[in-house]
Amino acid sequence: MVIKGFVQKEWLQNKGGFWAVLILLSIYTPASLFIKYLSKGDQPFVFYTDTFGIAPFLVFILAVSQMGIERGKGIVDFTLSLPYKRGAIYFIKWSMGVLAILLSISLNFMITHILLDTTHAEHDPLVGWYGLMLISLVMLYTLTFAAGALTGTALAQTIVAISAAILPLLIIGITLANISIFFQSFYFDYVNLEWIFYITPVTYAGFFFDEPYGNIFYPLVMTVIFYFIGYFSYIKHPNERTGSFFLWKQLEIPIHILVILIGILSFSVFGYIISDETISGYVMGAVFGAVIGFFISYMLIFKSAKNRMK
Amino acid sequence: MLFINNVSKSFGNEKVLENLQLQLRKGEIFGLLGRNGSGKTTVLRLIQQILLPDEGEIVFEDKRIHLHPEVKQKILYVPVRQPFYDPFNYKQIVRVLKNIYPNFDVTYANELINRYHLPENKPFRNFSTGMKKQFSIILAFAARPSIILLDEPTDGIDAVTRHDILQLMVEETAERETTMLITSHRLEDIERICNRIGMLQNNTISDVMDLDEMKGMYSKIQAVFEEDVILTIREKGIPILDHAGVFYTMVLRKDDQEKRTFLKNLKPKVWHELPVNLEEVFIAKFGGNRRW
Repeated sequence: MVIKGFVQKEWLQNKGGFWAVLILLSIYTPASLFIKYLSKGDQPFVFYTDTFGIAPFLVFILAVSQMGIERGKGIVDFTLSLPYKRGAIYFIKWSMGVLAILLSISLNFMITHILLDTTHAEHDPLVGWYGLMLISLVMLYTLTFAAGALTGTALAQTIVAISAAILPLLIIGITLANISIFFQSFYFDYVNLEWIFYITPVTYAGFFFDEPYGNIFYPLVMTVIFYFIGYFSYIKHPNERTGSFFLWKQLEIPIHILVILIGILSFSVFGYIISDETISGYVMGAVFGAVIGFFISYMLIFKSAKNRMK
Repeated sequence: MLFINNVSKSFGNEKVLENLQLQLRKGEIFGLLGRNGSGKTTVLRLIQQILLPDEGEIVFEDKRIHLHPEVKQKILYVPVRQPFYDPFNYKQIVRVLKNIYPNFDVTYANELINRYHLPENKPFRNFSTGMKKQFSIILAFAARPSIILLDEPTDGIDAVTRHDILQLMVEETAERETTMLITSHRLEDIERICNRIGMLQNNTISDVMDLDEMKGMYSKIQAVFEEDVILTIREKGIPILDHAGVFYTMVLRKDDQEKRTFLKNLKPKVWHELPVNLEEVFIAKFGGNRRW
């Protein structure tokens, strides 16, 4: 009964986000299938399960609405004042999002299946693809949700979620690129580096699905990791609205340094390439990257919090 | 009933509360006073566990609230703003609250909503400030809590609405023995309804006492001196409420014989001792650190 009250509150508060996921995610694939069918002309109808379309965007919006916008509007104070453990609040909120995704994907699958049967279209096996889509969307939702438990505003949540989604690819990629500049003999075998994509969350947004990645192990593990990062942040960190970028102040300086390092490593490679592979170009790029990295992270992490506190 | 035991809280490097101790009794209306930024709202938010204390614990009916958040079914917090309510009307909010608070009394809520002619179908965001306050307080009362934490309940509302709200609070306490913890800058309201008050100063609560007892501790001195002695009085740290020419109104603790003797030694031509009100005590207490 008491939990029912919280579910009602959560539904009422995020109705827009839930309906967007429930409706758009349910009809997106059937609608695009139907449009393709209408425009096929005399050609045999072949339906490719290639991308997840707008689905990642929808789950992202839902997670931001549940966490970042709640905090930004000050509703988080009401949520935390309710007679529930913080862990239970986090779990119920997350479960409702996951349930909405599960329901929508199931509906999407059923409608698509019926349409494909009706139109006798050629298509890839659906179950594996839908399974991957479901796990991927839950993982991306959990990542964004957890980012909301770490950050103080919707903008901060968005930036942290997107950064975390590309971080493994970015860090490993630019590190290897830097190594290959200084150690020319270093053999850069891109084919063998495919595993980086598997551990990079943004891969599962469907942007790089040239070939179906049948492995759901990685997104499943990432879901568990992100869930618990968010969970512990939610129950341990100060959750009230402060306008700070990170709720846990101790994260500010390490992330500031990380952004500067990424700026140095990426701009140095860029400088090296555009200067016809000279070390002076590399150094100039590194300096430029350090300055850019410093100012971007300073403005986002420290300056914006100061402005909001005034 | 509710104990705040050695609670400390900092925001960044700024210490807001240090070793705060307070006990709330059943059926009392407790007024928490303090200057702007002294941490009054922080105390309420700590009790409600919106903020977690850095040290110490808050215990309600022998249960530590952070380990047993279910006890918050009996503790309601009415903040200055309630943004969750904004898009919803009365019926939508009641539907949620009655499932969160098992004792929520819909009949009582309806009765009060009708008594104060508050609209049932209008979104909360379209209410006036006074209506919002009334509405939030009614919903808090209808949840039938043991303790209500009210942050500036009469701030920004007209005299009639203020009267209604204060009346409602007094009735609730009298009929149901609900405990209330109120912060307010309207000292006349505190003076009117509170049994006990506490002053939040220097990161902790001092002078927790009955209101009458506190007022009995101070005297308002009206004195006329031969010449302008303002600098002499300021140097001695005596709070001056009013000063016109050689006519002075000051506040003194009754037991502060040293300052009393000092003033008497200035040979006042006229000397009257009068009872003080809460506002005068407040000014004397909190204005003491500034230049008078």
